Amino acid sequence: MLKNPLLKEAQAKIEAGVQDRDAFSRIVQAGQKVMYDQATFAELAKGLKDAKDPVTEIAEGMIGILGILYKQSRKTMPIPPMVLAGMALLLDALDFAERAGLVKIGKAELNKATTHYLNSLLPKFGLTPEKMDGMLGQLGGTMKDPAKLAQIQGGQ
Amino acid sequence: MGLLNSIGQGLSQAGYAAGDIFAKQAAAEQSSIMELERQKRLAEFQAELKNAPLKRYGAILKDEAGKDVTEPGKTEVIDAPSEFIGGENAGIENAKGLINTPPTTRKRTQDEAMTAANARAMQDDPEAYAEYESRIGKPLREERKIDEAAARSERDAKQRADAETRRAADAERKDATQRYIADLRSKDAEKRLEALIAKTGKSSDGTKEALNFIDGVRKDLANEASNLQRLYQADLKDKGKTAQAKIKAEYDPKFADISAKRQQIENDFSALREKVGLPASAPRAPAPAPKPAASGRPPLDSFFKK
Repeated sequence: MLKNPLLKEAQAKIEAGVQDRDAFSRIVQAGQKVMYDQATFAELAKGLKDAKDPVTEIAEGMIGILGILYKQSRKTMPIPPMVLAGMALLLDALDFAERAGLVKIGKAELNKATTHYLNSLLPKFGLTPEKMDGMLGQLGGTMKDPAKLAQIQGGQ
Repeated sequence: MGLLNSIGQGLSQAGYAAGDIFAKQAAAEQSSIMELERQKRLAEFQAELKNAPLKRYGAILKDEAGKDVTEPGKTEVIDAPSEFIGGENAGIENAKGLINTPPTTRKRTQDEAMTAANARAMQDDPEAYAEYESRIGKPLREERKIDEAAARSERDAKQRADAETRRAADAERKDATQRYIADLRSKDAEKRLEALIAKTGKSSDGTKEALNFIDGVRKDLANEASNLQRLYQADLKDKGKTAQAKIKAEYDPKFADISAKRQQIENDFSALREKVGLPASAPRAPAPAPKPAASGRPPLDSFFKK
């Protein structure tokens, strides 16, 4: 599905860290359904094409979509798979934007998008990297360790 | 009992396995549906991105077209009757003054809006301007150029055809003149004129056309005589008496020929005029009377011996 090799590699690493695979898959599918729905997409595209910084705009868009899903689940959605599914959706959206010719995604752009995503998302759920530690297991450790985070973001 | 348990366990595992297969199938189907939607949105978005600069140019144009243009009022000098003055100098006095008309506001014309939009887009959104230029501006100008070239080509062709028609008419007239002049050798004037009338006649009997024709020939011959005279004068210039005599001898028959033709044409012209009930030839202006000498004395030539 993803064309960009850097994004593909990052996606494989995220999926490798998923514990609740079923929930993760369901959230990704639901997210894609929302994202590529004609009406929702029209709104996303509007913001995207006029954006001065499309990468940050995409990350913001993903947070918005996760918010919609979380609300629809009446706040019952499990947070750890949701955060990882959001990350997978973010990679999907970045790949989409690159294929559309809107932006070129390299390591810097990927780093910027994931950092913005995590920094904006976690406080919304009252989470800190420390609290995420236990919840996400491997990913929590990764988030606390900049070198490891860079490894995910850079696909190294 | 152990066997039944084993069978039950086996069936249960088979059920789970089947459920797992169905779940995987459903997920794969869902995934391919999503991929299809994604492709659709991608195509739409790519088209939207491609058209975005032109849409932005359109928005600029719309904005500029909606603006008003204020034209300054005109100041006009008037010189008009303004006041009636009584008394000794009764009359109407003309007063000079100025009429100031207020500024007027109107909507921009399409050309004005385009010019303003181009200038704004060039500065604020060069991408939109470039897109407009490549997709509309340049093709439009090319189209205009083609239209202009086609119109020019059509105009040139018409001019050529007109010139050709004129040339043919001139050639025909010249030919007819030559034939007529050649016919002048004929002594039978009546026959010659009949032939001419018959030749030139269209709707009527042709007399009027023949008159016009002869009139044209008269002018041609007058020109010919004038040209010959010029040539003669040029040839005579700076020549000795002997040479001049020789030249004169050379030119005399030509002058005589033209003179004879002119006389013949005059006769034909008069004959035709009589035929249609007009005086034989148009009355000529009387020669001017000799001016009396300034002192009131008789002119000098009255003293010459007669």
